[in-house]
Amino acid sequence: MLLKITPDREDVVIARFAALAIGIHVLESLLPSPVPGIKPGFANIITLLVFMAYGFSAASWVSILRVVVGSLIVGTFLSPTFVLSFSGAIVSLLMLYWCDRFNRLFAVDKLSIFSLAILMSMAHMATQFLIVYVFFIPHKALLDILPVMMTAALVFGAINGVIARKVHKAHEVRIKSGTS
Amino acid sequence: MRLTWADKVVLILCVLLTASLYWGLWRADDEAREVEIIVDGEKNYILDLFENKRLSVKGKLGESVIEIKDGQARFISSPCNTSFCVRSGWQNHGGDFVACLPNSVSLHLVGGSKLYDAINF
Repeated sequence: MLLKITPDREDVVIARFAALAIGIHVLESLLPSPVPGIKPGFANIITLLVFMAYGFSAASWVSILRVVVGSLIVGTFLSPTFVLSFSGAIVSLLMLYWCDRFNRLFAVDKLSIFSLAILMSMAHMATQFLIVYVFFIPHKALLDILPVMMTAALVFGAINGVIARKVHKAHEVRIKSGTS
Repeated sequence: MRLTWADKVVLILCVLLTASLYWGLWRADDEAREVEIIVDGEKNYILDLFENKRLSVKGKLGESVIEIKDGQARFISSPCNTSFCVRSGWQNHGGDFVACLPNSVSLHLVGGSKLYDAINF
């Protein structure tokens, strides 16, 4: 018996954007970082754009595929780096979900893509820090670096938010049609 | 770029959260609360740093005069030649240590978070 899978339109869209996000993820892993754990997280821009155009479930697919496939390419699959990346992605998706629910409650004055980027970035960083503190380095001295990490998350989240908003405005129609 | 009302609240809360982390985790908490006076390396006296008093301690050479005032402590005079202990002046951080080695009298401030784990002379 021949098993045939025909991808529907949404599958194709998810695959395309996931590929884009994976590309950014892998390129970003080549960037040197002054402090381990701090990186721009530009791949999240793709997650946000997909969320704006297709909603939460497509965005979570793109985000999780990005983390899993990205780690396979970089070679960190199932390593501590992957654990941090994966849990960060899960919690930042939860944050996105809550923001989505919040936005559905109010007709005006919603959280824009800018806020989403900042909140997701902070949630991601806080989760990673918590996991490092609880499982990998349970030492009080580690807390000294938390303010720096959260500042980095805030700054990069804001930068990503601005970029995401610009891209969203300029390419809204193209993103919607799935021809990235 | 236009920020909605919700955006502004989120931005302000996030900045406040980050700022409070600096305040909560980076604030130096190193004020000493007690002073330990060590004579001849064996006799220890622990005194409250906020109980103002002046005391003389008999060491190997003679009497060292120590003053304790408002959370600080210092040597006022000591019978040694170099007077390093007197010239060290007021001490107020946890872990601070002043010694008059010829007279075998030293002050060790305790309380707060120590700036040093150990000091080796």
